[in-house]
Amino acid sequence: MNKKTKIILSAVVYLFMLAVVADNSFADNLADKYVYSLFNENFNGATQEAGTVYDNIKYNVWNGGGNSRPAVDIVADSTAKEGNKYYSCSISSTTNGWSGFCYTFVTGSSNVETRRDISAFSTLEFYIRPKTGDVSNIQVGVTDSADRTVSLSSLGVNNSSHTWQKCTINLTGLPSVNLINIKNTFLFITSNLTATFDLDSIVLKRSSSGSFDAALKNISDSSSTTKITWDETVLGSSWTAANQYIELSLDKFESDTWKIKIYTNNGSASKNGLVAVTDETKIIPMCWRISKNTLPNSDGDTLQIAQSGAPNYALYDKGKSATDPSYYPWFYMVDFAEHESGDYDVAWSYKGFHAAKDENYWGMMDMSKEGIYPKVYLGADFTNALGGLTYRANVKLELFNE
Amino acid sequence: MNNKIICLLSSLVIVIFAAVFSYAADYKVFSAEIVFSSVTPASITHSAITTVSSINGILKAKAYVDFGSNNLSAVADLRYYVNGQSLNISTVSKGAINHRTEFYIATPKLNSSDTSVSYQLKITLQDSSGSTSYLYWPSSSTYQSVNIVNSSSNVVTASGGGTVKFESGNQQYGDTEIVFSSGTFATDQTITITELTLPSMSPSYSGGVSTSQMVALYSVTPLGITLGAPARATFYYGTETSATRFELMRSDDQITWEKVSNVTTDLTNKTVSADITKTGYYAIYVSGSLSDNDYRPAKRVVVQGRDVFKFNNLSDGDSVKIYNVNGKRIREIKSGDAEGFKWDGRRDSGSYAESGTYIYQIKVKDKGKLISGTIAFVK
Amino acid sequence: MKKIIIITAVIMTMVIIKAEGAFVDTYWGVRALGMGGAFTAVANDSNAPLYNIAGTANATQQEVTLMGSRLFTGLEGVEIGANYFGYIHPMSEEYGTISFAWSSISTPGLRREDTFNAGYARYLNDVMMIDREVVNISAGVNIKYLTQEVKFDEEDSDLANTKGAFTGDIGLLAQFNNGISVGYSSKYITSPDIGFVYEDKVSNVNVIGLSYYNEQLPVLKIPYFTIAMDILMRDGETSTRIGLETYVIEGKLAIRAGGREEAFDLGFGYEFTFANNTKLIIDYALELPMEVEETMGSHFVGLSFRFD
Repeated sequence: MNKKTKIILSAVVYLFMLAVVADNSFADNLADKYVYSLFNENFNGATQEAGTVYDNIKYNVWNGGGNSRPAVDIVADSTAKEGNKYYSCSISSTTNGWSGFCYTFVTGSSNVETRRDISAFSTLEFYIRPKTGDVSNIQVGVTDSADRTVSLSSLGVNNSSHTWQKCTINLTGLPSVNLINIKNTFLFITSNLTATFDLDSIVLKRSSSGSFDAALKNISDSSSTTKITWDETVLGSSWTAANQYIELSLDKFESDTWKIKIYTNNGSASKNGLVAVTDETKIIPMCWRISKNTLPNSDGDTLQIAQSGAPNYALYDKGKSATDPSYYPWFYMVDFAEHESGDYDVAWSYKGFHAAKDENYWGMMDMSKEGIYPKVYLGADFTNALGGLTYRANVKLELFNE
Repeated sequence: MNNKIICLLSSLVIVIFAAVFSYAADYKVFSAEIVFSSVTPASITHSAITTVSSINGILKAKAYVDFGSNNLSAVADLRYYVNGQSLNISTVSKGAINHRTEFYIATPKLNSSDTSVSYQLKITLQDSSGSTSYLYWPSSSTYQSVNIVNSSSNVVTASGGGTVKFESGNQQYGDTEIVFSSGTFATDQTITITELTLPSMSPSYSGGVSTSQMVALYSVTPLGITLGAPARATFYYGTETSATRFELMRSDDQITWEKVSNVTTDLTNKTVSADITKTGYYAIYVSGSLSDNDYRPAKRVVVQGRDVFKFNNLSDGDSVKIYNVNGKRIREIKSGDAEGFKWDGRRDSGSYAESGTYIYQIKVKDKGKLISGTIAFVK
Repeated sequence: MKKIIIITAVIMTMVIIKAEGAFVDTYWGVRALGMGGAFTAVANDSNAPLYNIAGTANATQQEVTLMGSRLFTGLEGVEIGANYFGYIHPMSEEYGTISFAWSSISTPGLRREDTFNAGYARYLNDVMMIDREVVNISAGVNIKYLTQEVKFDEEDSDLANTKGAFTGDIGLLAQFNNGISVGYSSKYITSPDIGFVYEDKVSNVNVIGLSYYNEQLPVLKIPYFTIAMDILMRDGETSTRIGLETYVIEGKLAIRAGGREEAFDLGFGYEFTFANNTKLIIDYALELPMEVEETMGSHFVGLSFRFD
């Protein structure tokens, strides 16, 4: 290799490493997320109340020129587009002064405003549900040295339709925008109009798809491991949790109706559990549950599984009451060959993570300030297990789109 | 720059680039596995029965079998010889079980004319692949000899007191024993507990209370001694009755009886206990003064699967009938177990009745009148 | 007169087996009970709402009725009472009749069941274009609210004491001018779940009733005579009720008898008339159970008030 080549190669390496390091000096999740949430419960949730800061982003509500400040409240109910919460906004601005709200980049312990590079993201997306008044002329966009916005009507919002409508802002299409030098990453600004409307699921997205990952960890110390196991002493015992959990992470939007399913992949609907290697008729049924944090936790959720009697035979948490059938967090495992078409084998979806066996129990009860990494726990019923046999199962977690 | 370092760095670059641009799969598969090791030897725990009561005549052995960590099926045999004649076997089997399992296994009732009995326990274990192994107690070639007796004696010292115990031979329930403290006797005394056959007609006892059923009779001899300090006596009353209220009576001559006070009943061990101050004859009676409420279920509201209705103090020949609120009979119960006659909410056909208010009518054969009441069965 | 009596031929399955359980529909109304509970095709007073709501469409006067009772008297330890309150309000032929009813069976300190009903019924002849001289057809619906309340022991104190559910009934009634009436009633049509822990559905009951009325029975010359039969189908099991009624002393004193498999009923009623077509009716019924022993029967007393 001649000297010239050596220099070029080393320069390439150096620059590459510099780029990687440089990106990380912004010290937040913006750099490595494919989906960056400003207001979304299924991914890394962000700031909410006015003035609060999360991940070096500050949420601001402001008014000027004699207008009243817009009222932006967080409402929790089942009509949210995503998760359980949305912004309910009320604007009443009668003069020509501006009012609105935004997400501003800040830095340092005193939260000084700063500029960030969001050029890696291709779109800024959100949902709006118009209620009263006319939202058509509300401007939405980003701010670099000036506000770079477009009107809601230009995004196709139909003011007379009081349902959730998706808005997709192509960031490079914003007039004269410099995406490398952004101060406000989401700007919602109005003047001289009165309206009420709801907003939900405000995110930045990259054009390339992100990742879905599931990591198997030991319950004892959260170290990585490769196999789901139980101690041999469970023989003859009823439902017992395995010694591992699976931690899910999702940084990927295939669609707005994605779901992550969990099932055994043993090839037959009846093989919904651990199957004896030498005798495929001997099956140990399995179950699973998904939790926001590790178990047992301080809310009284345990890893002890109990089973209610006829007619439901539902599996519930021994630390909790069995009399409320909507609170059955453990699901019987199904095999993929069962072709379950409903939500029964869905662990995590756009609705939330499947906290309990009821249409309404999709857990996302508070906006987590960390990235959301739900944990899947597994259990099995060894009452009819037989000594002298080895039992195995393949447990699969898969991301599906509707 | 060194050739080797360049090569290393460039391959590092390539690896990093590859990692960044690799396609993230949309699923993950994990393998789950559990291995249950095969049969290892198990062990049996049993304490020897040395005497069996000639009156009660039931030899019932209690044994534990420890399987270690295996799941096996087990059959327990009580192999016994009565009077040295042919071998008999009583069998109890358990399905697929785990760890330690407790067995109770019994001979049929022995006659008072039987003179000897000996027994051996044999456990047959089988694993899922069909291979079997065996456990024996005391050993595969020996038998435990049991004396058929009706009494037991012990010396109670003046200074140290002592215990006299008469083991019935039924290891599921309690035994008759009397615990004497020091100072009970002035000099060392041999005390004998003898179990006696029940008289053919229960004598009435003084106090003017009506005759009731005597279930056990013992003598504590020598008769006529007044103890210097009270002794704690426990008497076993056998398995013939499912009654729940008993009285303990004492007599010097089996003719005039007086009631012993502060009697405690232990229904689990089937014993009655009291402090006694004299030797003499001790008889256990099923309390004659049972009120209607002694038969009625204490728990009147039962949730399906959580509990059952228990009708107490009933025996063969009694019956309980359940009617719905329309007056239609849906269940008749004619037998029960040591806990009484039970209704779990099922109809005669076997299916569960609907939730509702139900009327019961208990017919006690000795009473001649019906005891009625209402209960609620809930789902 | 058209012989639409084909309908009547559809009915007959005379198998008598069991039908029982929660939310019994046996004891509602002293007059109905006096007739063994075979009231679905009769259904012409304030006892109607719980037998056949369609029957209330034929009422011409408002009526209020109240019933109290004591079941299985003479049995110490058995304390069960059944109560009924009914009110019918005919608005007009065109608008139909609304009604309210409350019924309850309770054992103090143990368990009670209550049913609240709001009903509406109307004749259908104008809609179906059938001559009222031939047959009078009416239909009705009831909205019901059922509750059961239980006093649990300490061990079960984790359970709520009360459980309630909504459901409804529908009813149809066809009264032919020859005195034959056919009625159909489907109750608890949604089979609501009133279980505390497990699913416990109140079964849907379908009743077909048949009755014959004559102002004077030919041959025997019994005045104001009604004979009625109801066939109830519940959970795949069928049971039958039969009843008779006659009014003597110029139609003032009612004598009734009837029964079903597990009980025999007798009833009496007397009607006092006042000015303005107002009537006060006192009814009494006695039910003698055939299977429950040593009881002096169940006694039912009712008071009804009929006015314009």
